[in-house]
Formats: sequence, C-alpha cells, structure tokens
Amino acid sequence: MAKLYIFGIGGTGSRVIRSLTMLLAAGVDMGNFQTVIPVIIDPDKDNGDLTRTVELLKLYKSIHDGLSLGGNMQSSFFRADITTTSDVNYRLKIANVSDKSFGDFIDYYGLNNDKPNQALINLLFSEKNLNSDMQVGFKGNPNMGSVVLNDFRGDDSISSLMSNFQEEDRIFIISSIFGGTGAAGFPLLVKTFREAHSFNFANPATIEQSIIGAISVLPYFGVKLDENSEINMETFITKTKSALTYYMKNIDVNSLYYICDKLLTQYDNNEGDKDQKNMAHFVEVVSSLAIVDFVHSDDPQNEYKEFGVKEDADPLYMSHLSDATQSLLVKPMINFYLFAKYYKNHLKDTFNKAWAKDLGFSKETLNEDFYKKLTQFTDLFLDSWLQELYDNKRSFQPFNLSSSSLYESINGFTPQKPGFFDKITGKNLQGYDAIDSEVAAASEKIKNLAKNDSFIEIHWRAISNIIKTKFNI
Amino acid sequence: MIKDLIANIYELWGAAYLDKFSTYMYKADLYSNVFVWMLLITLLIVFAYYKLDRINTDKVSVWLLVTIGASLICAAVAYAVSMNGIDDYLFDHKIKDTSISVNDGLIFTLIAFGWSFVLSFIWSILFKYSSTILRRTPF
Repeated sequence: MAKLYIFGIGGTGSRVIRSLTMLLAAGVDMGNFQTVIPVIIDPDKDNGDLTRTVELLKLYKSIHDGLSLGGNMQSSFFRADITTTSDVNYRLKIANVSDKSFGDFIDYYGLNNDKPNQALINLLFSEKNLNSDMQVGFKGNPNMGSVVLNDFRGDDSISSLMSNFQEEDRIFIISSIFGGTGAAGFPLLVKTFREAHSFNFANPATIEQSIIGAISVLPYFGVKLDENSEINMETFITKTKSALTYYMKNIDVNSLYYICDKLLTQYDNNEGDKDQKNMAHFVEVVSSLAIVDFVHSDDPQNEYKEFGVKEDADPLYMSHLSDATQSLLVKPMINFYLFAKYYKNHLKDTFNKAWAKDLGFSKETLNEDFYKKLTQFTDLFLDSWLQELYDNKRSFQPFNLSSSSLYESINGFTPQKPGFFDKITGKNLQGYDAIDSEVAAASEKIKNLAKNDSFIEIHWRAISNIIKTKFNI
Repeated sequence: MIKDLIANIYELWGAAYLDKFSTYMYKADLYSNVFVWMLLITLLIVFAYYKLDRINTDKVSVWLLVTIGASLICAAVAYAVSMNGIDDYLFDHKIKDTSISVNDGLIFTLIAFGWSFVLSFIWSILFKYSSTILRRTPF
C-alpha cells in the first residue's frame, strides 16, 4: 500500500486536514493510499485550528489502532491509517520564532553599519513587518513567511519524516493563497521536494520525481475590519492575483487544484494564537475531496482542476453537488452520520439485543478506551464539525441537524416509504428499529473478528444495507 | 404406556392426584386430549413468534408475554376440555357422581398452565436458533 504525505500549511491547511480526518473516519475511499501522513506547517503553535486538528488526528489514530481491520472486514470506518513520526507528531517544528520579532529573525538590527542592505530590507518589509511578533504566524504577510519558512528545509525532522518515502508514494500540499503562511510556504515546499538533492534527504531522487499534488485555496471568507490587526480582507484579492502570477511560472506540481467561493462570511479578525479557530467550511470539505480525487488519478501530468457544484445553492445539500462529487461523498457521509446518531442516541438501548449478547457488549464496555474515544469522535463529528458546516456561510447542510426523524434528516434524499406489504412483513422499518433489525442480521454473519472490529463491521454493514434499501445508494 | 406417562405428567406423579377427577380424566382419555392441544397451541404461538422475527418483539418482556399468553390459552382449553369431557363421560356411562368440583378443575388448569409454560420454553430454545433477530431471546 502506498503512502500519501499531506502537508497542510497555515490555518487553512489545518482546517482542511480536519475535514479530511472526518471524511476518512466516514470511510471516503482512498484507493491504494491507505496510509496517510499529515504534516501541519504552522509557526503559530498555539493556533486554535492547529491544536484542534492535531487533537482530532490523535483521536482518529487511537481509534484506528483499536481496530485490527483483518479478515473479511468490509467496513470503511477509520480504515485509512493516519500516522506520523515521533519527532514530527503531526506538526513540523519550524524556525525558532518564539519571542522574536521578524527584524530579530533576519538580524535587521545587526545591519546598522550596512546601510545599503538595510535600505533593501526597508524596501521589502514595512516597519510593522519588522516589529511583528511571529509567534502567531505571519499575519497575512507572505513576504515574511517566505523568509522564515526557509528554515524548515534544513530541519532533521522533515528528513526523518521523508526517509521512508517510496517510489509509489505521493505528496499533497494544502495552502491558502490569501494569507501569510500558506501563500509563502507552498512554493517553498514544492521547491524543497523538486530540488531534494540540495537538502538533507535520504532518498532525494525518489522525492524529486514523485507525484505531487496541491490545492491552493483562494479567498472563501473575509475577516472583520480591525485597525489594530495586520490582517485586512481588502488585500486578499490583490495578494491572490500576485501569488497566482508567481505560481504560473514557478510551481512544478503534477496536479494543482483551485477552490474558492464568494466571501459570504466574515470571521472575527484574529491574527493567530488560540483565538484563531474558524468554523468548518464547505470549501475545506471540498479541498479535502481534492486529496481523494488526487489519489484516484492514475498518472497525473500538469493537471489543473477547479471545483463546481450542480446547483449554486445556499444552504447547499449533498444533492446539489455534481455526480462525481456525490459518488465520493454521499455514501460514506450518510453512513457515518447514521452511525454517529445511532451511537450517540440509541446504542445504550441495544445491550439486550443479540449482537450485544454475542459480543458480550454491555454498559461497562462503553468505558473502555476505544469506545470512549469513539464517543468523543462521533460527538465532534455531529456537534462540532457538522454543526459548524451547517452554521457557516455558505452553509453546507448535508443533514438537518435539528430534525428528530433519522432518515428524513438527510437533506436532498427522500427515503423510500414503507408500503403495505413492508408493514406486514416488518421490512423497511422506520427509525432506529431499522438499524437494529439490520444489525441483528449482520451480526449473525460475522464471525472470528475481534470485538472492536466486530462492533464496527456489524454497524457499518447494517447501515450500508439501510442506505441501499431506503435511498438506493 | 404413553397414556400413563401423560397422566403422570398432569398428576405430577401422584403429587396432584385428584381422586375421582383424575380417575375420570384417565378413563375418558382426556389427559391425552389436553396434551395434544397444549402441544399444538404452544408450538404454533412460539413458532410464529420466532418465525416473524421482528425487532420490536426482541425483548424478554415480549417473549414472556407471548409464552404466558400461550400458557393461558392452553390453561383455558384444559379447563374446558376437562370439565366438559368429564360431564360427557359421566353422561355417556350413566354415572351419577357429584363429587367432581370446580376446584379440581382449577387445580388441573393450574398444572396445565405450568406445563404449557415449560413447553413454550422448550419450543423457544429449539426455535430461537432458526431466528435471526430473536436468536438470543430470552437468553
């Protein structure tokens, strides 16, 4: 199985990886790339988006590791292995920027006797840039980022991370074009891999010739005007244009994806740190789907792709997406949504059912580490991620989160109503009864799997059957 | 031989021998009648329960309701068969015997109820393995 190295740069990088983690939990098909190595590059180590994503990755990893995924397991929940190395631990440590202004970092103040160079720096960087504290990132200044991020190239942790890079492995880079960190880091990172022989890599030729994909996220949200902040949304388009001009000639990747949306929402103007914790956005979901598209592309050469929907709606349902997008997203999303709802609201009422007796599953089982983590994950999926997508603008509402009806809450898809005969035979049941019934049937067929595997497999199969019966998906 | 065995079952091997009631039940072969009814009724109801195999009946309480229901029906049939059967037997044989009381009939009904419940339980153990949803009901 090949590995996919995903580099998420800046806040957008973190948020896209967060969405990808949710999609991987749901079982979006990663084809031959069942090992995913996400790396976040962000100097702002306390950034809310970053810390939240790293926690989610760790949670996913511990759930995945609780499954052996052997035998005849068909379930795609948590199937892909998200892994990292101990010295990277999902975030690449770059440059010692703590307690340093940008001026200190480039030793601007040591140039007192070198007036020509000082003048050159003054030309490139404003006084605000030079005095800027970089602990919270580059505050939308890619000119600063492009200098500071050079530092990670000499770092041992990226070399050790890439030391297992094989010929069939691929690299994917996520960055936003309208901020500071992402816009600066993307070209640098591409250059690092394409000129790997110049750096401290164990296998430079393999890395140089590898298939690299990237997504450049164009403006999709604004920030409120704040005179004290260095981030101003008025500059987003100008920065995007100049970066695109640069990318046109200087980016050497196999597949480049672009995504943007109308600026329908304005977040609070936080320059970084723990306050920068933007709500999940549909564009981030689509960006993570670019990764899925990339791994299914056999031999991409100079591909440039944009994303479009079938219907420009707000709120957006899954049924508004193109058929190609639906084929990637719909089934796993509905499957995991129903599983999460069932797990959260109904599982406790099923301990007397056959499957639970077969597995020796009881109330106490939920206190085991695997199930505690699963509870946390499903809560984050339902109450945090989906809710944020729902509340954001443009609103992505694959599910009506306030609906009490399980199957009617799947927006854009109408469940098949039970007919007269169905009522007599007990087929096509409603609500959780339908899942319970399928779970009983699935659990009878599943033998010789470990307890956690059985639990996941039984419920995955049961819900897959429900989706097929009720929605013909 | 079988007739004796069935009689013993209902008389609890002598522990519930009801004098003339038991004698007439045996002579009129009413024990076998009741036994056949009991066999059929419990079999039908328990089989239907497991064959329907519905998720909303997958509860021990529902199973208990079904088995008690089946046993009550058997008990009612046992009462009717025994009391009418003895009356018919006495009439046919021109016997005048006023010693048969309703109490005897009720004791026999209670015993029939108990055996019906046991039989329903045995059917349950046999049929639950043919079921998918109810395969672990009642245990």
